[in-house]
Amino acid sequence: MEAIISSDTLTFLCLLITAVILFYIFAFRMKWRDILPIIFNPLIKKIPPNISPNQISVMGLPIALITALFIYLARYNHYYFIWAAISLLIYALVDSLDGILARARNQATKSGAFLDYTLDKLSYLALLSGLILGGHVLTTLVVISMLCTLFYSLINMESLALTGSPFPLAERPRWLILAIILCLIAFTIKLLGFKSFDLWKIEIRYFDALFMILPIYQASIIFTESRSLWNRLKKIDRAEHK
Amino acid sequence: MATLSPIIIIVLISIAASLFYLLTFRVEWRGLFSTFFLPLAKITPSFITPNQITFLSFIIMLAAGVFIYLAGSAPFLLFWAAVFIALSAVTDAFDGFLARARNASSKRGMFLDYTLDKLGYLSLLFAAMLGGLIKTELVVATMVLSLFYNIIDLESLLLSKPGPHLTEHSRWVIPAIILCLTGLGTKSFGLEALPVLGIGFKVLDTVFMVLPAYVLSLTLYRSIYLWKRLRER
Repeated sequence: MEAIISSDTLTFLCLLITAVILFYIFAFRMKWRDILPIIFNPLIKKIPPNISPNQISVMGLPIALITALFIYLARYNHYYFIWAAISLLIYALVDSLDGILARARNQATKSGAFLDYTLDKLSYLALLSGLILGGHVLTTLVVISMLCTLFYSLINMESLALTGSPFPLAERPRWLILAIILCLIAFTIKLLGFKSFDLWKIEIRYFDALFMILPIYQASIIFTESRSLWNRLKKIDRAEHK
Repeated sequence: MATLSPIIIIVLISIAASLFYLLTFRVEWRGLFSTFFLPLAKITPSFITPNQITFLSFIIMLAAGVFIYLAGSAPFLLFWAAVFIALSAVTDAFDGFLARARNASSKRGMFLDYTLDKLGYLSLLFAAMLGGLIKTELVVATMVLSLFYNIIDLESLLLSKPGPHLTEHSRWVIPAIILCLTGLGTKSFGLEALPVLGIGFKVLDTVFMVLPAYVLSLTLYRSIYLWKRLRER
């Protein structure tokens, strides 16, 4: 009996945390960058000067690999989803720490920006491959999501190259919040024992339905981004030909 | 079979000749084409814009994708796929030439050219996957690696040269044509699966495997080179 009560409380807590995070993000439009300096400012002074921002960037990749391992292990025990969410949070903190440290020390370099951007993409791919290996979600959906992400970054890079803007020295990892929320919802689904539902006599797993949000969201982002880029380029072209 | 074999021999000879030319004389696409593009650009009526030609090249590439998809039942369609890929590459080179000849090269044209080239590449791979010509895992790995390589390529462009520009080289066209013709050769000679050491050894998969390996090595080389150059500054 005790075990059931504790798992119920955990479920309740998880749902509460998710609801609070969602509420914060949508109601107050919370920005990572505004809040993080408050946490990091005392921390930055304590970091010894022989640790460079690039080393912290590289440290993010092992953390992402550990998260992928947790997601894989969640097929055996769903409590690993909680660990995955926690290590994702650590990854998010480490990922923003390097940029903040570089700017605090006045060391923001191009090589640092390149490393940050590339490792961010690599760790996202690592997480998704953990998801594939764990067999939680239809492999096709995960692969579509991978391709969509890479194509979105490609469009982004194209827009930077064509409008002549410089490489962004600080990139906002928007997908991290979504990934943390997805981990917590996945944990709740597993805890409550939901597996699949019938939709017009087709059996659909809850995880697939949940994960399907991601490629749809990414495809819509790609569409809007390329349309706005097209309109911007139209203006540039007209200005050049006059 | 008897009617096919002279065609196949001609095809194989043409592969060998094109490979020989490309590797020994390092023929430049653009330089080779500009000789007969110049009269063609003058003939083209003025209501045809370069962007429309870009779209046309994309549609030709999609048609090649359809041929590749259908090639599972009719192997000779792979030959037409190769022809259409070559046609699409020529059209793709022509739009840039036309825009420059009319002095109307635009940012929108660059964007369209680059994006549709990548989409055409992905659609060919997708068709090969759906048609069951090549193992799905290999195709997916190639897609992901190629997109990642393109991102690294654009990053190096952005980080090393300031200012608005975007150049595009569709270097993948020649390997795609060679792969189509190899597929045709193996299918018509019945060499799809060779028994090597008791394992069913799929020829097309093995030839295709060169592509992800090449892209991976290129990605690593480019990123290490970029990293070294950025560290020097």
